[in-house]
Amino acid sequence: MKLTKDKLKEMIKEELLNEIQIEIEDVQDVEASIFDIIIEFRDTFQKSEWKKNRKINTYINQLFKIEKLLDKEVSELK
Amino acid sequence: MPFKSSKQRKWMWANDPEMAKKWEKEEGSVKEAVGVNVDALLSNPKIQKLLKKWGVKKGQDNVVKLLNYFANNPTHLRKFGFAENVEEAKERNYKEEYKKFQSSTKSKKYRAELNKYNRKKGTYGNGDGKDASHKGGKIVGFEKESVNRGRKEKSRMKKEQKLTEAGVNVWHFYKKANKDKNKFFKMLSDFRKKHSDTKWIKMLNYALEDFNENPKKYKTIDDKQNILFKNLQNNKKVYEGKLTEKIKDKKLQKAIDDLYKSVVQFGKHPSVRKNQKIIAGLIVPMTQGIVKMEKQLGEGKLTEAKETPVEVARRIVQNKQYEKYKGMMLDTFTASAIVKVYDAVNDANKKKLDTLKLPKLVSVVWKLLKR
Repeated sequence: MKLTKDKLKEMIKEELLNEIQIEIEDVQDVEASIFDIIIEFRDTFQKSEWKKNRKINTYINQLFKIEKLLDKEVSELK
Repeated sequence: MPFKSSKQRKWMWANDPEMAKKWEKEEGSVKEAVGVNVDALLSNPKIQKLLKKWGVKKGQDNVVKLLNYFANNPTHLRKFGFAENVEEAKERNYKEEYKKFQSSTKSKKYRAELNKYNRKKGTYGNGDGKDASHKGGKIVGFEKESVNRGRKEKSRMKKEQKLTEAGVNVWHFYKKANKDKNKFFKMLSDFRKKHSDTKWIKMLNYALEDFNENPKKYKTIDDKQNILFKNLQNNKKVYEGKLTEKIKDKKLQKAIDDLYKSVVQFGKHPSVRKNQKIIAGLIVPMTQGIVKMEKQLGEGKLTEAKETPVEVARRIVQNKQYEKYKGMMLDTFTASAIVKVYDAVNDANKKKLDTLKLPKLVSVVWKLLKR
């Protein structure tokens, strides 16, 4: 099989398309991982001596709110 | 196995020369690591004379022999000006030093005294794990042997450790530099050389009160330093931050680090990086929240720099605005009286006034003014 210019272009296009698809999946994955890590952090925090600290609890709630917004934005990106 | 002492070396060479050769070789390979510039050593005219005297020809083996000799006799090396290198490269053997110290007649006598004390009390050899402890040359009483014998010697502490333990107090630098900008900046730069840039920047950020609210206000490190100096001059709030700002709970520290990393990683993602809406609107507040949390949880909670009542009074006079200081209102009239008296008295009395609490200070000031 000979490689012509057109064929090469097609191949590059295909690869680029694949890359974009992977990228979008990756963004969602990364975003989901943030959510998981926040939950992990909350769990470890609740086991620690600081668990009754109001300020940090509010910070964690804020993080969850921001994360929700992030989720929306990322789904819009898709 | 290298020789443990020069006596052992002599004995080995006399009785078992083959083994001694082997050990010498092994020791040679160890001693090769001594930080001496071989070329410089050989080019030294005094050493060249020595080589001639000993009939040593230039060559790798001969050089190793020479190095061995100097490693065993570092005082000789000092004569040729290479001692510094050797001392730096040689690691201290604390156990040996301890042995040597304890076997001196002085410490033997001292130990005997302590044992005598222990016997008198009837606790010698009863396995209670306690030592008779001394402080300033006198026997103080009994102490756990692990505490008594394991007390940290200052020379063993690393420089870095000393610095981080002391923490960084910008106020301290400011006062030590006599409020001179150049001196202050030099001290800061000296301090910076000893630490990594990230640590240094972290410390600066702590010192600037409004950094977390307006991080964009400060573009470069010089900006930060200049504003810090201005704040100090104007008696504005400046925070003291310890460099070792880590959370005690390691699990929590790890969790928060992971969280920060994941958010940063998300921000660096190619499809997110271009999106300013996500970056500015969501990721920046998220990271700020995490940093605030870390500060809150941090062992070295940020403490406000200690201000003396006189400094507060001076600020009140400057701003012509009364302030609350530790629950007490301080009006401009009283503040100006405090400043006037403080400026009039001598240095020794200034120090005394600095230590006074506000109510006491005010009463003293009024008494002095009435005279």
